[in-house]
Amino acid sequence: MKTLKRWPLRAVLSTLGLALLGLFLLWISGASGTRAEIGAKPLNNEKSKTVNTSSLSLSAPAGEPMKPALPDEGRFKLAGENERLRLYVDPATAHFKVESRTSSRIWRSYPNPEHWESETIAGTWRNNLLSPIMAEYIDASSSKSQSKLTNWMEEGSVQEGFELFDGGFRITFQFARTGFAVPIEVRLHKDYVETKVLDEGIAEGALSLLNLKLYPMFGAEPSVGQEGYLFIPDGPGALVTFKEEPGTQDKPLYREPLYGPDAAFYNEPTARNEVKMPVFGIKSGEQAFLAVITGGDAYAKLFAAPAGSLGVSNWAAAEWQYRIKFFQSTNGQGTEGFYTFSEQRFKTPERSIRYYPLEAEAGDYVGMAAKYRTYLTESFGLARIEPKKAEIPMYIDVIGADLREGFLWDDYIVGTTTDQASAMLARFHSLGIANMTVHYGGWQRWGYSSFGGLFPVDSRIGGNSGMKEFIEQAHKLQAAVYLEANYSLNNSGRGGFWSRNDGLRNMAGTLQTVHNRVSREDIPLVSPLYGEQEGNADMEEYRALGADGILFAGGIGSGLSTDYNSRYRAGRDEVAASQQSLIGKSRSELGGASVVDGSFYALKGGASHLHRLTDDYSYDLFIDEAVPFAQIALHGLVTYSSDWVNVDAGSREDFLRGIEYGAYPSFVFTAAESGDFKNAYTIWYYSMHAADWEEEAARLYRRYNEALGAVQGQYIIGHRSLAPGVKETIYEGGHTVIVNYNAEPYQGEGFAVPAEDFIVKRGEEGA
Amino acid sequence: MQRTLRLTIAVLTALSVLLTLAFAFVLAPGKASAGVSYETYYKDQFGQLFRMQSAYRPSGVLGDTIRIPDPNNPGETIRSPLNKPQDLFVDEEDQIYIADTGNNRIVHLDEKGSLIRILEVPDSPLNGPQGIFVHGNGDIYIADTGNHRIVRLDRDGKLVRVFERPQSKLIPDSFKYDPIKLVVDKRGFLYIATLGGYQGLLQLDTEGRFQSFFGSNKAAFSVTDAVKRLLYTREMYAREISKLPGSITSVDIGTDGFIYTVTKEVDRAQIKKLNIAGLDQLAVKNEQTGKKEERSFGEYSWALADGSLPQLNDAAVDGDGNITVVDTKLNIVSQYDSNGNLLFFWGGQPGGGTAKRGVVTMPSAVETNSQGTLLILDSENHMIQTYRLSEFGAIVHKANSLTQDGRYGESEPLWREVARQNAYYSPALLGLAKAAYQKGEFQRAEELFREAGWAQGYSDSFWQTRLLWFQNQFGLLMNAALVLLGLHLLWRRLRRRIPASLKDRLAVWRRLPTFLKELGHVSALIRRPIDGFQAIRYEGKAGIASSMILFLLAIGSYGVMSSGTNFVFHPESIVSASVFPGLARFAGIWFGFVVCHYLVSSLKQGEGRFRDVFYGSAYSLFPFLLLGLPLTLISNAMTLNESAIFLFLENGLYVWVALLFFWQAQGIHNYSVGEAAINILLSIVTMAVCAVLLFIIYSLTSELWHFIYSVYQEVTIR
Repeated sequence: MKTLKRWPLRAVLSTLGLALLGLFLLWISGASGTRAEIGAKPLNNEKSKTVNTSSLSLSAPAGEPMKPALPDEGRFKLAGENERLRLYVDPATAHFKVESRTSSRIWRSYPNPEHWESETIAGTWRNNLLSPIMAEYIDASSSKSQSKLTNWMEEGSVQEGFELFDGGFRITFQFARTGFAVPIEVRLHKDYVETKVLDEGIAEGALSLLNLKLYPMFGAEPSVGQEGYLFIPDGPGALVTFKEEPGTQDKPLYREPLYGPDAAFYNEPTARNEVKMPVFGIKSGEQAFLAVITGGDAYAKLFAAPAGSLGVSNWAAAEWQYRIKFFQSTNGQGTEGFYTFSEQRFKTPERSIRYYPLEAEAGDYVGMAAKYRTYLTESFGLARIEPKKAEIPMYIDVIGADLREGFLWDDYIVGTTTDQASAMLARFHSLGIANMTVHYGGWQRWGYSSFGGLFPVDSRIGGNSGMKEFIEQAHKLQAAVYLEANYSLNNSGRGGFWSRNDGLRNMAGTLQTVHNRVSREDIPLVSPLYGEQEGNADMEEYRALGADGILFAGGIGSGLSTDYNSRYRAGRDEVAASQQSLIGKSRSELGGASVVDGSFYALKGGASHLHRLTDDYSYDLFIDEAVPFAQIALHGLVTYSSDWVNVDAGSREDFLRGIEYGAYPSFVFTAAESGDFKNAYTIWYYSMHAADWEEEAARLYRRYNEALGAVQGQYIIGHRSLAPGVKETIYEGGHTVIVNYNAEPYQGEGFAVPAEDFIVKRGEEGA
Repeated sequence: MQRTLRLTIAVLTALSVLLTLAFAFVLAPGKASAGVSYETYYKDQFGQLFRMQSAYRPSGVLGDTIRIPDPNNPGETIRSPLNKPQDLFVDEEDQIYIADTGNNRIVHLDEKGSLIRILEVPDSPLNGPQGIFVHGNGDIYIADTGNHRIVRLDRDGKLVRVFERPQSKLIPDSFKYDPIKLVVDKRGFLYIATLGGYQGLLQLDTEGRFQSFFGSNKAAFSVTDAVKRLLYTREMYAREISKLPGSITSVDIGTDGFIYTVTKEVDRAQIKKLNIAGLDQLAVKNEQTGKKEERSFGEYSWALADGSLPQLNDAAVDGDGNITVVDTKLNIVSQYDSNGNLLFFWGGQPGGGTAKRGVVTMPSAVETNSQGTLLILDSENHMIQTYRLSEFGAIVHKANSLTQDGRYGESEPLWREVARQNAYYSPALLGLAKAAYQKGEFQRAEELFREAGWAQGYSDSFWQTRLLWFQNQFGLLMNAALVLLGLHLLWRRLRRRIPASLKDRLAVWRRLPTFLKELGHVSALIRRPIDGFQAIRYEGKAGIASSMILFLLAIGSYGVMSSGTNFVFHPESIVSASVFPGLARFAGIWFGFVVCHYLVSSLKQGEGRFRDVFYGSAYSLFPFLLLGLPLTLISNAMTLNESAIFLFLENGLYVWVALLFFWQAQGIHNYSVGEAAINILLSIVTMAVCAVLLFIIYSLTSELWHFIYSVYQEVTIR
């Protein structure tokens, strides 16, 4: 009965669908000529020669649908060449390979043919792995449809519009069935190959593109007994070693948005560290590569699949995001509604990845980090640090004040007045802490939990004049003072902020808030561009107080959220640019800019210190260990500190990790007794009384100096495990720090490391 | 009135406790600390949560790389992962035994996790074994659940004995013999937890003869049950399956011979520490009532729990007697000391698909070894996660075991270090307070007990300091009393001699503004309340100004009472600092009564006008001012020993207010006692009706608004 009823409708629909598809194909074949031109347009300075695809005598000649297969090794053509590398491309599949001229090692954009026979995965995923490009899409016309995966090869697409130019090639991938057209470009540079998706030329049919992975199998290798690992930017950097047998875990995957979740969209809860660095890499035996996402990074997710999860290869790729679902509320509170996708795609000028092939000695995570460091100096303009003093800096975060619920109105809890802060610094100085940087937080009116309209300094802790005096005092001790500021939240309404006008909104127009469970308050997020204006306006005030810089907390330089507030509309990349501009202003006008939980894009803005840089990974069982990739890339360029010693980072292990990673110690202190902040709205830290910690701080400081004082401006050039729990960090000039985490002493060749301790071997220059 | 007030206070307390439970999960840079994939919390006396440094840190994963000889390929080995393992045992040498239920075997690992052997008992194969126990003499006992038996193997894995279902008249026929967990005591007696066995642990002797049911739980009995028993027929009531006592899910034995049971699906005494007589050692005396009470175990917070309640699955006891329990529902690990006081808890819902180090998805068993390492068996990810005590946790354990032994002096420096590292950790304050009390530093003990929120300790030390104070000040106090007496006598003598003219001049009250004179009417209400109220109605003895002043003073006094009373009597004052909600409720109820009372009385031939009701009701509140304020002051000089006096006075206050309202109805409306009673009753009913109506109107209008808004949104967006 049921089937009978439904039959006619289905038949009609499918006929209609087929007809539409036919029409669509007709239209595409007509339009393809113009499409190829779109890709060709911007490059008039090169002699581009369109390759006549039919003349290449392909297995799938022009007009014939493609069958998913590995590229024919005999068909590769040289597309570019320099003194180090050669780029070959197969015009039929648009797959490429990079060859090192010195060693003849090859990096492929497709699965290693040697092991393809052992590939067990079937279905769409098998084709996904073969295809140079795969996509996820959804039929937006129906609210019930699910997202689907597809790839260029599987759809029986026709290769067309392939074009070689000097140093690379370009092609527009036309998806025959789903109708997407994605122009891309691959180009060989001095020591890397760059792939680009050209967003301008993307076309869609009836379906909505969600995300793309371009050349997902670049450098991928199965585990066949060789030493190797996936390098993913989890925490300071983490390794997933190649394993021939899957672990106990069922097909683990790593998929994380770059620079953290976006308040305007749905975010998958993964309980992982936010990704702070736009990098990934694979090492397999003697060869490796580092991939740096250089353009469109704000719209990328990092995707990594260890062997056995999706195919037998270990692979990693950037997943370019075009649409992310968001919550469309249908009631006033924003509590009811549904998830949907926007009509508009995310647009960014270009989405590019640089693949740096690395080999031999440089083919490991240290080599990757060194390459990234070179990238940071060349592209971000970072320069080597000139150490101010022979001693390392110690970071003291001072809490001015906070609020808590009171008898009739909120109680103002004074943590540290400016006078007390002066006394605190003098005390630390007398204990031998010669180089201090103070981050003063909670100084604004009504203290730490009062956001927005920061100036003037609250009179109850000393006011502007007190702060000015404190900074002068600090400068006499050659200590730097940064004022902590959060330009991402506003609950005070000060500074003319009105959440209706100036708050961050998602696409549905719902104001986004952060909930404080202690004060039971929803605090509006500020439109990033409004926040930037506010920060810029405050700059003069900071300068008048003599501050050495701003410590950006609450997301600036750390995370990105899209804003659909029509007054301040900004995409993730625009938000990043605005944050960079504010950070840059602090750097140029005040002298410095620190970022809490900093992402690496903050460095482009000019961040001079990454505060409390994560030094541990997210503990996924399929991830094997954390490595100090971020620290190796940063040491000598930008300072970074480890987490607060007095808030659960004070164990022996944490101390040793700080030494191993070359991080500087940090504390959070008040002059007030530790118990005073009980039930405060934001400051929940349970032990902040400076006097309780001063001796320990002085002792730690001496030990840190022993290890790191001499190499403040040096790069880390080596890092390895000498034995389980024994790590060696080598700096330029041979200064070596060996850390032993074990409960037993470690005996090396000609040296011994006491249990749970470290030793320093001076370099030739230092000795 | 008193009832309603009391009730609202109770509701308020409950609410505020609920709200404060979510404490400390703050928006501040919320990154998990280094080395740890979860957050650790402490919950204090008042249910407030405090995030703290990790007490345990994840230290490794065991049992995930088991390999056995390949049966098809001699000489080769193949992976043989665990399959839904249900129990774990760590012997005296720290070797590990796993009941690998899904694979019908026992896996024996060494202390580092390398495979020693696999026990399958080929002569009589196991079938879904869920429990394992290894006796000090090396005998291995297996709860072979699928075969409905206990198997005893010798040290080498040879079958020694099978314990089938024991034969005894004392075992009901309905009893199902599906052993899931067991322990064996020094004598070789078996304590067996059976599936659904609500009778308690089955105790067998070495020969497998039935001894008794041990440590059974009590059936919960609530008010609804009482009603049901009254109304239901015998058959209907018998069908209420939930009335069975909770069945024991797990059993453990401590080195000291105590037997620990864990029971799911009960909300109290989830853990029991049973002595040889089967008495629970974890029940504590209630501070207020003095009765022994069962406590609730298994910590949670609203933020971590997501609305569900704990389901404890297994407990482990370490050398110090600290009890660690795992929760299958909320994935929270809670640790208590040997008296059942919380030390810390950690964990929470594992996020996002992939298993993480330190986060157990489905904890089926927990054990500790001689190093103090915790081992938690994950039956979903088929492995053991291990946790080692952090440096902070180690100091807490050491200090706490000294305190438990009564060695307060020795524990003091350790507790001081704990308090230095965490000022919000009450056990440290408590430890220091006990040490101070023992040393006779009562004032310091008093402060520390107060900070820790421990009423009995505070009360005891305060009693001591008060005693000392009285002893020291005795002379002064006596002198002061004598002087006062002398002055009084002098006044009485002098008063008679003052000439009338001077008396007139001294009588300042005649020249006072009217409203102050009206305030004086309170004294009439004390002496002859009904006449007093009548005077308000017919003689205009009260005015708007005086009534408002009285009302404000009363509400102020109520505020002072609720926040200023000694915390041993009003513990809730510590939790909620703000008095605004309380005051708003007070004012709301009062005004609601005024309006409803007037409405009802105007229908019931009451003679009072609205303003009379208003004045009268304001005047009826004066005991708050007169009695409440002094009582609040005095409460701070009282200890728990005098709680009877305090409660008498406090209740007296509410009774007095209630009576005043009653007399007010009589006096103002000229009612008889019966009329007044009916009137008051109707007023309260009217108040309730009004409240419901207001609520309905509010929710309907907001619903309507939301509906219109949603339709608009749906139309414009979809």
